[in-house]
Amino acid sequence: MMEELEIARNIMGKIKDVAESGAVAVVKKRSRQVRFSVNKIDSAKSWDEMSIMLLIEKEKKMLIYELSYKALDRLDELIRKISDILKIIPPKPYYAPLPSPADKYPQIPDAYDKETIEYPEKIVDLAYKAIDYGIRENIKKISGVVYTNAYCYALITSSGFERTHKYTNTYIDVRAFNNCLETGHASMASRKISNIDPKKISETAAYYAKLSKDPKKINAGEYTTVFTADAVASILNFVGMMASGFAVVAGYSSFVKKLGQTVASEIFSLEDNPHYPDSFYPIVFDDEGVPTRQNVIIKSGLLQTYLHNRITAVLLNAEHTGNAGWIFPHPWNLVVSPGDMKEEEMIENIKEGLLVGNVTYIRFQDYIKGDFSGIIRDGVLYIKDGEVKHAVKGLRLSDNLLRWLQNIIHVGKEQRQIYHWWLEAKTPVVSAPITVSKARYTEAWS
Amino acid sequence: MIDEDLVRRALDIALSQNVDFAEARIQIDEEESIYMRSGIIEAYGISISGGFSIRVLKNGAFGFGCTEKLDNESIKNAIMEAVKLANAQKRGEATLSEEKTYNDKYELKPQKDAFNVPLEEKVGILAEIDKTITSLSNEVKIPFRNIGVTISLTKKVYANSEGTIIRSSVPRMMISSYYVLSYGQRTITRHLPMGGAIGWEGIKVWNPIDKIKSDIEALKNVIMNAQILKTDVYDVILGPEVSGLATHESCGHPFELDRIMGREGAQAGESYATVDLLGERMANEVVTIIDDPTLPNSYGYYLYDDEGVRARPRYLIKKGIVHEFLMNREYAAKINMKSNAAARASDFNREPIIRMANTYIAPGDYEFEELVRDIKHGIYIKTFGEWNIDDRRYNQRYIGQEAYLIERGEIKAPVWRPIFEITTPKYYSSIDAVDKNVEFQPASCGKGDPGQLVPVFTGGPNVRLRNVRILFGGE
Repeated sequence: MMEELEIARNIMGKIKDVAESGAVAVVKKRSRQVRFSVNKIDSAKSWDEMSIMLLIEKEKKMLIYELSYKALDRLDELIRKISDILKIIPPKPYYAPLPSPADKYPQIPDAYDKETIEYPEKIVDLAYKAIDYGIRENIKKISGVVYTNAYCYALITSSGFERTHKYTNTYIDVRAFNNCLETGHASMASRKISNIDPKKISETAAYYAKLSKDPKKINAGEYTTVFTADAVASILNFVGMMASGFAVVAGYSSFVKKLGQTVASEIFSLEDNPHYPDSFYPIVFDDEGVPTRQNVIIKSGLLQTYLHNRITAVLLNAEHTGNAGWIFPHPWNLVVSPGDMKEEEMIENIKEGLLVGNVTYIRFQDYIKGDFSGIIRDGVLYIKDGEVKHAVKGLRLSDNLLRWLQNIIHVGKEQRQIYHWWLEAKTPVVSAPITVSKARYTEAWS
Repeated sequence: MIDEDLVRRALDIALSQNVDFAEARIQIDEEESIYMRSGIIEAYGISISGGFSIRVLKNGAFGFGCTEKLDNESIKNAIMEAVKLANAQKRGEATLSEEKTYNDKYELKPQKDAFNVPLEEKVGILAEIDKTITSLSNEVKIPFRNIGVTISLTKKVYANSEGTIIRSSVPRMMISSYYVLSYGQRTITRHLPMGGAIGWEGIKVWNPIDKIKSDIEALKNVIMNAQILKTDVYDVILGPEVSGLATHESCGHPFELDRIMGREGAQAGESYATVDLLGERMANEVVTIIDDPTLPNSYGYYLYDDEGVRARPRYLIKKGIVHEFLMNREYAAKINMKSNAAARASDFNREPIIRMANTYIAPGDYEFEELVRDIKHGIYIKTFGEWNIDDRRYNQRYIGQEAYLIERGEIKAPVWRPIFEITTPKYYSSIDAVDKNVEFQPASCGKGDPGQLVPVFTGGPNVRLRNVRILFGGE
């Protein structure tokens, strides 16, 4: 029996003594990572983590605990404490029982790739290849990371659900520097290390770094902009987060009271789909034991659904969507429906505008309205009459999320799965380049 | 109690693998947290995490391994994994600065251990805050309220193959409050944290009820009455929250030497600073910036870093001149200097990297009223909402939340969302006065990959800037 399942069963047995219902989730994760910067490896790391989550319910009172392996030797003490706490806290005004197990669950036969995690030398080799391909492109400094993870997940609920699931994933993230302003970036994520292509990623990063030579200042204002797949992934992480029923209930969403309404351009569609081929998170059941599924969040510009667990489904009078977190339902793996244009054609279609290679540090002034700003970098290029004329410095994307979505005029056809460390919501995105008309930019006082 | 022998035995095993240097750390973190959302206890959590980590240096290459399990076999496996990863690298050039060795212990004892405070009392303080906020909701609605209390205790034993061994124990506590105010088409989302390396006595020190009450009263005035002014050049006063964040982001981070030398290039980015900046003027004489881990009861408190180097206040900028960068042993060696104890690891399973502790502009001689008195046409930005900064830390932006017009030396009506967007050289060269009133806020500073959040203080005094542009958007 898997160690995780054994631990989960042991804890569930103890929970039953003090609670009416509950769940135990045990996730064992083995990670390996190689970091490199300025054409050298900085460090190679390996670490194991086991997180144990407990959901405990009695008389509509809910408690959630997160423990580590280290805490197991104090389990009896914690269970006693739980019993005391249950006497003190008030019941929730809203409640829904844990769902019964489904008859059928999705199968993802290639979710676990042994090769991805068993050979630490492979990620060292990928890092060296990424460095060498970048140097061959005449790039001065190549920095980045190669990551592999293997997960073993066991979930038991008091409603009779008991399953385990194993999967792997990996990603490479490369940034190319010719100087501090002449930078390019690209990343690639997969379930299998053999799918990672350091040549493609380093060459793409190098391409944008070289185009970023001698950046010039231009006026702040509105520019029709091609956002690359990497830039789009950063922004869509917030769209995915705001589609959560919890974000809607808690006032952290621009989609409050927008169900069924137009929230994006009619050429834009976005789904959450952990079953998508080579999805980074090939999840088959959620944290409440509900089968995961494809959920179309935005179809041809219309907001189709929020993402729910049992509680938000009750609060918003909707169907469970297989997206539980116990508190915060969330997307697993976002997918942008591809369009029919190559990125080069999207550039050719711009009379005057910009290309933005990457967006980071996105912050919202107003979640409900959607006012935000973000740092643009790694290829900010001025386009005139369909051609890149020169690189640009000093601008900041300062727009509104709903306006940005509604002003989409082209979606690219080349998809790339992206996952990188700064995605605040940490959701992988099968992304594509997108053109947005009249995206807004401000500049700093200097 | 952490078994010190285990750490020593681990070093022996590592050294038997012909490594040039090894350091071992056992870290145990215990945390209890309670979250109340809009008056309902949403989550109660206890987290106990910890384990062993080893970092080895062999032929100029680092390898890092760790395990949650403290049995001999698991520890040996972690060591062998670290050695294997170091061996797999062929082009290592890392060295370490030479440092004094220590055998020491420090323990910060709270007046009132928060772990022993009855749960009813903890829930009670959250309920009282929630009740206070709710009682202030009238024509200005406060539809969303998230309040949390987190207490923690971090225990560590660190030892290295040079003979240093350090034991430490530091408690921390934070009360964080989020609330959303709504009036007509306007909303304000406010985050107000209070915290430190302290026990339950923090409640008396911070007085959260009164603080939150006055904060909400001020924000109600803003949301109901704030004017949208025209974009113009103003004199500006930034309150401690804003000046503190700006100092952390545009001096602290870019002065991390690993960042300056490119190690964070693929993640948080590089820096506008170069090593050549040492000794150069960057700000007016009134600006001295300190990062001080030893500040008593500060959220970023420590006395030895995670490489066993003794901590001290670090003067990043002294009277406007760049004085020192934040350094660990690896990066100090690259510029032939000593570490200034800036190596921190957030958890047992993370490598130590260069971090800030408590970064702030040193207080000046002015009273706040004196800062205001000399302004004819200005804006006072007391708190902020949205903010961000580019990856070189050169282009920064903060949008005022509680902010006021200043006319002829007096604070007047509130103003709506002034946008302070400025380059870093312009920011520091525009500061002409600093007041006496230093205030700190606890924060979790993020860096690295895998991400590491470490506790820090941000904050400082009120600072005055001359002739800077403030943008105003619309509603």
